[in-house]
Amino acid sequence: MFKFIISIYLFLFISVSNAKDLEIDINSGQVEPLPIAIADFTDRLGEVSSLGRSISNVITNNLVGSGQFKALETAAFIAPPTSPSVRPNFTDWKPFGIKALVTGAIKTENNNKIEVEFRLWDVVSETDMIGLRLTVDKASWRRVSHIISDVTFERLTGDKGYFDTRVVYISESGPSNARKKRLAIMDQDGENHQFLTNGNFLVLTPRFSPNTQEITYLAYYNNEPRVYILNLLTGEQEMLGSFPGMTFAPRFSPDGSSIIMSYSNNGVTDIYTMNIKNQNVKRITNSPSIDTSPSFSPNGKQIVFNSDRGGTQQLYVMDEKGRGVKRISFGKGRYATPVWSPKGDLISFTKMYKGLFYVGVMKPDGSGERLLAKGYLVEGPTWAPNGRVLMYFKQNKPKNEKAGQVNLYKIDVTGFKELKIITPADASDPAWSPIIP
Amino acid sequence: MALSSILSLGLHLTIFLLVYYGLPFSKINDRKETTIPLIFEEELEVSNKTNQKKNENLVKSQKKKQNNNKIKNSPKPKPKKLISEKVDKNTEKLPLKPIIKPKQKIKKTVEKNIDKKPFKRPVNKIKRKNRSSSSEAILRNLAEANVINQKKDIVNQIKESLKNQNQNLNVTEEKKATATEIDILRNHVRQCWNAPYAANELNKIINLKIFTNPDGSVVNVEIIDVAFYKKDPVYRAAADSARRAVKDCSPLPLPKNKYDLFKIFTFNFDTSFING
Repeated sequence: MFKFIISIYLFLFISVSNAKDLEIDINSGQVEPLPIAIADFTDRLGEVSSLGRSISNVITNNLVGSGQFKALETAAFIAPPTSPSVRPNFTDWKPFGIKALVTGAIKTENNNKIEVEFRLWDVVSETDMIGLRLTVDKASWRRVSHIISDVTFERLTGDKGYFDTRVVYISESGPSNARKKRLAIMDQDGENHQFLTNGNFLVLTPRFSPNTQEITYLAYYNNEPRVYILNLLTGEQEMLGSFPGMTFAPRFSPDGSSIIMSYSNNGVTDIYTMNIKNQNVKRITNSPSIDTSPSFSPNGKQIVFNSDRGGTQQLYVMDEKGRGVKRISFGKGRYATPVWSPKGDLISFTKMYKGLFYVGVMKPDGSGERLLAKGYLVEGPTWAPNGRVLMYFKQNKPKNEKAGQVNLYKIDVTGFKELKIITPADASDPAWSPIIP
Repeated sequence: MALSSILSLGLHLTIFLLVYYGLPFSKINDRKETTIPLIFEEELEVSNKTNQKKNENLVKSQKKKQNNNKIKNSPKPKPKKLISEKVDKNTEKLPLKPIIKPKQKIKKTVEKNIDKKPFKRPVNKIKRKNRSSSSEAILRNLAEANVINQKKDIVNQIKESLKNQNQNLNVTEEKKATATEIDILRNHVRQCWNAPYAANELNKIINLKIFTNPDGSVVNVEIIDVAFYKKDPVYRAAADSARRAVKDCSPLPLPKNKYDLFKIFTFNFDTSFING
């Protein structure tokens, strides 16, 4: 009897302890653009409208332009569900290899307002992932498209979206000996273009505040470089000061309360910060070398800059008080215009090597350097607020004493999707805004 | 006296075991998929209705077209030519553009070939590893490739491969699933896994509980850490991609006569390969 009971317990014990499931590790896969379909948005009657098609196109261009999605043309032949509340027939979409589907509808309301509703579906798991309903002025349909793109992007990639943002840049026109440079602003996809200055004064290097709709820029007034701060919401402009010898506009600190700049005084170029409210100036570096292009880390505790203190122009990192200066670039060539990513994981830079310019990224400790774009002149990288996409300008080689064309480009950090931004005239010095509030 | 004390001891031991490990059937009930609340600005209802009648024809025709492609390339021409002719007539009437079917077909045939010839797996495995797990394959760099780094990568890959083999052998001893069988399953699933780039910053393994039918078809995929799935957007996107991979890869190439072992099992998806 005793043996029998013991054997039962032993059997129970062994069977229970063996109930642990088999585990298999999957240690590799692909990182490729996700096939997605954005169905044309329908109207109240369930039919596709021209506005619905436009919204669908904007979302498609945004997602494909990010480099993380590919939209399949064949999706256009499948009739979308009459409403996002209607469950799609997933078997219609699966044969095309589509993994995610966006459906939506627009209802026109009184006072020229529209109600836009959308839903994101996982075609493989046959589940809905997220939905949103927004009521806006009809004129804001483009912004609604960007917001839907942001929500879709975030849900499928895990990263913050960056489509509901704007870019300020320098619009250039005229011959090379009398170049007219105007400050301009547009949506990140090049739409809703607008000039901010009239071109009477030379303007350079605009910089966006990381958390407000404010920009700083450098303008030459009677050949004297002045730094201005412009509030895009109110249109108010304020002169921060006149800085002889300054060639780049200051950048904002992460909290937007101060600016950091390089300033030449008595033949020595050093780095300074200035409090925007009380205009108190602090000297950060004090060396006989040329220290320029400072940029704060997102937590404000470190600064990256370039300096020729080692003999050639290289990138250096120091703390916010100028202590612990450490060189981080060791590749061949010269390095300039470093910009710290808003995520903090990468630093973008311009590199000059063997007569060519490159835009690249490296980790803050200088490791993992990758060059993403190259050309006759490639410069001025600026980060999207999610830290996954860079915008910069490229100038072609001049031909027959005619200035080479200058255009804006954007590229995702994986380096596979470079897109040209269409602007009314030549364009340089882009600065990316934070997400519009 | 002795008997009663033994019975008492036994009863206590049973209760202890049940409390510690739980009943097997209660475990299975616990695994029911938890509904994950969606984030809506306004709650949107979904009906089961669909307006896709028109498209059923399209899909059918696409399926026929796919069959048609398969048949065209198959080695037995006579009986299947007849079918392909019929399908061709149907598809010509449709305003559809040709679809990127050949790619899918090629993939499928490759998978089938590999299933039939498991001994070729290790060679394929190393090749795929070189392509997909090195950072150069994922992140573009215009600078010239560093040969030394590449060599280091290959050495690391071989080391990892050996590590995996050892791991498989341990499992073999306990569960009687051979290393080759597990390798076939692993290779099958990783071909379907398209992870989002943002998962490179994820320091957490994605554990998925897989429920299968005897024919290898996937009945259900559960994300085990539901709390973290709700909390972390990167984990959520990566876990969704892993779940899609398992469902996309259904049916799984499960070893024959070992269904008990693979009826319920766990896949551990590791996104660290994105960083190389």
